Amino acid sequence: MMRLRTERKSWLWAPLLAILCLQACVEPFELETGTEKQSLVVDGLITDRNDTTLNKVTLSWTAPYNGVDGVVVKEPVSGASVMLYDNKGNLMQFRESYSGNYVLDESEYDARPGESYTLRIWLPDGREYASRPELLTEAPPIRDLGYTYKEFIEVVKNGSGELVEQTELGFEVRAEVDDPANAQNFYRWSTKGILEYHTIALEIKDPPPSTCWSCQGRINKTAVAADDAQVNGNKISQLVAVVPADIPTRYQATVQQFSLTPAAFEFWRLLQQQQTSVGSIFDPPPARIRGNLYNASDPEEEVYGYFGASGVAEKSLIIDRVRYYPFPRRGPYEVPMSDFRWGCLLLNPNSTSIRPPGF
Amino acid sequence: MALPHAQAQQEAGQRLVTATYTNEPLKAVLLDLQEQHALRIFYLDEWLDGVQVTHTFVAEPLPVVLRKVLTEAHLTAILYDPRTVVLVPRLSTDADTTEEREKSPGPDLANPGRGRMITLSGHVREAKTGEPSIGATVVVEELKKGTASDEKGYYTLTIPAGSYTLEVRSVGMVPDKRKLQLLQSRIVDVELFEVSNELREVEVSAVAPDQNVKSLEMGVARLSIKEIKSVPAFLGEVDVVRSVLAMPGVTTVGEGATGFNVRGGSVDQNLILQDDAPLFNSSHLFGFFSVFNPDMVEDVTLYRAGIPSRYGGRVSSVLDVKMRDGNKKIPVLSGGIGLLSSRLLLEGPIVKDKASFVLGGRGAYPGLLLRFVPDKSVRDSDGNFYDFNAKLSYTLSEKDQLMLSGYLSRDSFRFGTDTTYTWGTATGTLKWSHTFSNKLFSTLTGVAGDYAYGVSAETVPYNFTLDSDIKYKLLKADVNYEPSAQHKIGLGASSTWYNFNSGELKPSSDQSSLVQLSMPREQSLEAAAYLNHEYTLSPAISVSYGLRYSSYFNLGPGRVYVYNPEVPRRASSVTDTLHFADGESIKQYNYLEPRASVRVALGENSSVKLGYNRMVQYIHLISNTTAVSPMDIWKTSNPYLKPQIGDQVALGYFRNLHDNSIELSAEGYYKRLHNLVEYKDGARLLLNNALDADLLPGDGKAYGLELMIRRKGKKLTGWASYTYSRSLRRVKGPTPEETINSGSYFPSNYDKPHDFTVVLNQQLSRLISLSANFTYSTGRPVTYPESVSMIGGLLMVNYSDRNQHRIPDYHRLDVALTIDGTNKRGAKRLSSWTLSVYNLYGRNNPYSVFFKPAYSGNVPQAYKLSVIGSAVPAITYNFKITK
Repeated sequence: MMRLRTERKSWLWAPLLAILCLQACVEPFELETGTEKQSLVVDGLITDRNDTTLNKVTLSWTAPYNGVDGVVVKEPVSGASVMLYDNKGNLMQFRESYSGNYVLDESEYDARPGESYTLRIWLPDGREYASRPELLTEAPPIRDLGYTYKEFIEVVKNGSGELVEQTELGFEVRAEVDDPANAQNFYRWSTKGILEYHTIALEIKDPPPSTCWSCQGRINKTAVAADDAQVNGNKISQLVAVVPADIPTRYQATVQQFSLTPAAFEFWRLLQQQQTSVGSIFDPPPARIRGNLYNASDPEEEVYGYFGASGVAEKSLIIDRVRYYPFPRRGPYEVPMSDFRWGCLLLNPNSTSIRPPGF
Repeated sequence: MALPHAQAQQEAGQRLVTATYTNEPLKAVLLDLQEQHALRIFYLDEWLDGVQVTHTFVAEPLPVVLRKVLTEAHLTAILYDPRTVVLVPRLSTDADTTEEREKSPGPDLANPGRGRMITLSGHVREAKTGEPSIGATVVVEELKKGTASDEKGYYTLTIPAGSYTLEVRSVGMVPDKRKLQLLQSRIVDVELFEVSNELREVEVSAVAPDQNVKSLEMGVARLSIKEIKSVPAFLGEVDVVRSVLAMPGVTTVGEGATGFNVRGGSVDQNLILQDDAPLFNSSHLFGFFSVFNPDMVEDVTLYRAGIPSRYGGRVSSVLDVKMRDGNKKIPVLSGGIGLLSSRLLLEGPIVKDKASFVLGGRGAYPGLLLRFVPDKSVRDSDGNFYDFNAKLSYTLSEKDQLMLSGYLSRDSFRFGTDTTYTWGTATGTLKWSHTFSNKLFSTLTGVAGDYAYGVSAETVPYNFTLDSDIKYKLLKADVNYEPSAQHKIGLGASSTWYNFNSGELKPSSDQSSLVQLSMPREQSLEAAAYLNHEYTLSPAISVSYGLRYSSYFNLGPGRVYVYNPEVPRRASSVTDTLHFADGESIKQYNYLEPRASVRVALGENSSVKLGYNRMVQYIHLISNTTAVSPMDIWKTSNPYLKPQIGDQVALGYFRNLHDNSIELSAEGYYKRLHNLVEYKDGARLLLNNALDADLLPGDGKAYGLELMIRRKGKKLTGWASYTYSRSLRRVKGPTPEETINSGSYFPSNYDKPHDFTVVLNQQLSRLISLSANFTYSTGRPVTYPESVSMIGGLLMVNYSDRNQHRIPDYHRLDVALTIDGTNKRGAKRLSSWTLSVYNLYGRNNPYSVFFKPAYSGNVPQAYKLSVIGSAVPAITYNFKITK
């Protein structure tokens, strides 16, 4: 049902609004309610794969809410001691790789599905935090990834404050999963993107590279979580990310699918609800999202975030956007010039000229 | 210069007439008198047929002249005001009195208590239509004693034998004043005549002029349809619920929100009755309009406190809407055309003076307005609603009346091309009233109703329909016994059977990935019996006390989950399931609901009233959104979901000034509520088999002071009210998961401490009236973000405790101008235009404040959403055609 409520809700109120309010009725306004009190934020994960990019814990302080300039300064928490215990008392130690980032080295890793894990954190000031135990379960595989080329019509405000329609183009990426019928399953998806791009090859001796790949990092803009309550045993077709149709090159989307415990699903569901809510009258009122961490000596202290244990399944898809070129309402694409020394490497961040697997 | 002016000011009664009439038709005589003395005389032509007048007057006072010329036509003249004379037929009873007056000596008026007590009773009817005149005041002037006619137009008074002046008044009717010689109990039926338009707005009260001070009622607001029409309407649509919102102690969470909140209670705590049929949704188009067809409404009563023991089943208030009977004399067609909807109503006799029908329909076409919206998904949206009322009333005999009333409504709204919301109500009421004697009456009422609601979507593979409904059948019997003027006894019993379907999800095609899922049906039975005694100890002190006993059964078939008592209730903590057979009692609750009120008069024009009532509610609306949505389900009490209980104490001071034309009241109340339905943060309410685990029982307290001043019966009428009130809640469960805001009191979603409303209606000329409505209230509570944190590169906003901040204050001014096409009495065609502007100064009242990032990963910007962000003008045309 969650799907039903969140996917539809985002535009539920808009029509009625617009009937009665032919002028702009949604206005930004200034609000500062920020509290100076800092609370600990924990973002931690243990998976069934020995991978330091997955098995890590990030510690930071909350930043005051400031809706006026909208800047978040994420202040890391360094020097903490972070340990992971399984239910037999075995211990795995995290190492601080850089400020506030703690990773579980491959040599330390010893996790397997079916076990429960508890995270413990000691801050340099002596405060001790712990998570509630999380059961690690395997994730069902992603059967297939698919995409649909689509126009998104949005109403935006133009320079003079009028509401106008604007057409955005993109590729909706969907993960298809055969939901196992024998169990209750909870899922979360995260999608990473790699953009291929070209520059005009230079006709010189030893030319710099003219085809590059830029790692775009996570491209899903909100948390994406679902359960099988309404589709148990059937096909799940979940929209996981949108790839923009801006330049006519290939684009790789890599979807990671995480299994969740019921409590972790509750956390991610509420976060997704918060991120997709438009404040319509049918949206549940916003509320604090409680995680599974607590101060071992002061249970009243607010601690944010979640420590999760997940099985991971992964699949990639390449979208050949050239096939859809030209994109309506966009001018013809002009291939940019190469830099004489670096070729295409400087055009986008996190770029490489080494062909990534899949391309 | 001063002379004509002085004459105009002169009392009609002091005018002197000099004239000679020889075999002059009476009509010509009256026309002559009108001309000569700048009078307006109202009568029906047929009364004058064939009457000729031969008289000579020399400087005789006008009343004497009128009496003489009217003798033969059997008419009596009433000097309504210095320029207006109304003729009414003389009844045989009047004739008696003139003859008897000389013979029997008048009673000792100084000591009326010594005389024999006799009963005066009868019916008050509208002369033109034969409909009962409800709430007409019947006053014996000499005794300063009066009563109001009941819903059948019946009145009864017990007074010492003697000779009196009886005055009968009703809204928009010419008052009837007559001398009576009462030596034994007598029936005096009175027919009242409609006043012309000029006079129509003069009287707007449906109750006794001193009802405010004299009745035992407190916390009761009565609105006649004429008053409702005097409140400027949104998009020109006259609306019952909007008028109710202008009363003190009634609030809403925002514009376009379904329902209303009374004295700190939630939307589902109002018992909404339309011709005795309970309604589960009072709104069309998500709350912009109410379901009551204004042309059909007779009057509206809202009980905020002092709820009579004949009502039960909801904790906060009772909104009793009575629909009117059809015209018993002639067929009438009326209707109206507006920007958003149109109305048509046909009424007339089936058997003249005995049986009548009325059929009313409304249809709306918001789709027309949607086409002008730039957003494509809005343009693709479409919606409509209609409602249909039918009512038959049949006077079987002098003692028996039968009434059949039916209602059907349907709302459908499609958002974009995909999601469609629908809801509709169907009810039928059959009522038989029987009069055993003028002291004993009974009514037997049967109601059947169905409220169905649902949502459907068409996008593959998530296409589905989700339907829910509530069915009920209700039977009740009420008996009123009035053995003497001091005692009124009411007793009765009722029984209601409910059947709830809280959701059935069906995939709407083979491609759909959704699986069929239905929530188990729930059944329950609510039975109640009550007894009430109203006792007037002395003219200064009266009491009313009563007791209602309600008994509730949650019936099988059904299943009940058993939760592990060691951990918070969750879907995952179910340990066992109990199964119950069809008709088996799953859970029973019984409650005694005492009600009481006392009135102490502090002199002629003021009184103090004190009241207490307990109310119990067995069915609940499950909603955790700010405004109630058409998807929200109703649920019946079960072993986990306990009945809500409300206790209220209220104290009021009432004072009337200037011949009852100004009413002042101050009412304070304190309320405790138990077992309110609250929710865990982010609770999932739809299609949740373990819903009981997501619901939290809460306590509530509400208190407030309501001040009101009201002006009636003048060219400028209206009211102003100020309310200070609080509505607080507390949820203190055994674990943090079952506790909200650490177990301390927090404001409810509709806690608006300051509320100020003014409604004014000024008669500018005979045909034109101007009305205005201003309202101000404190912004309602919301939860604001306090800090932000990053989770996996995604921004998470950390909100404050529940409802710790407020949105900006709300205020709005509306105006309306009504122009009547004619003010001729008895015109066959009437029409009027209403021009209105809602939200005149175009304030962007925030409906809600929400937070949305401009770009992903940014701190969300605060936005305020205004449902109506500009002035909304509207024009409506109304007409009435009489055969």
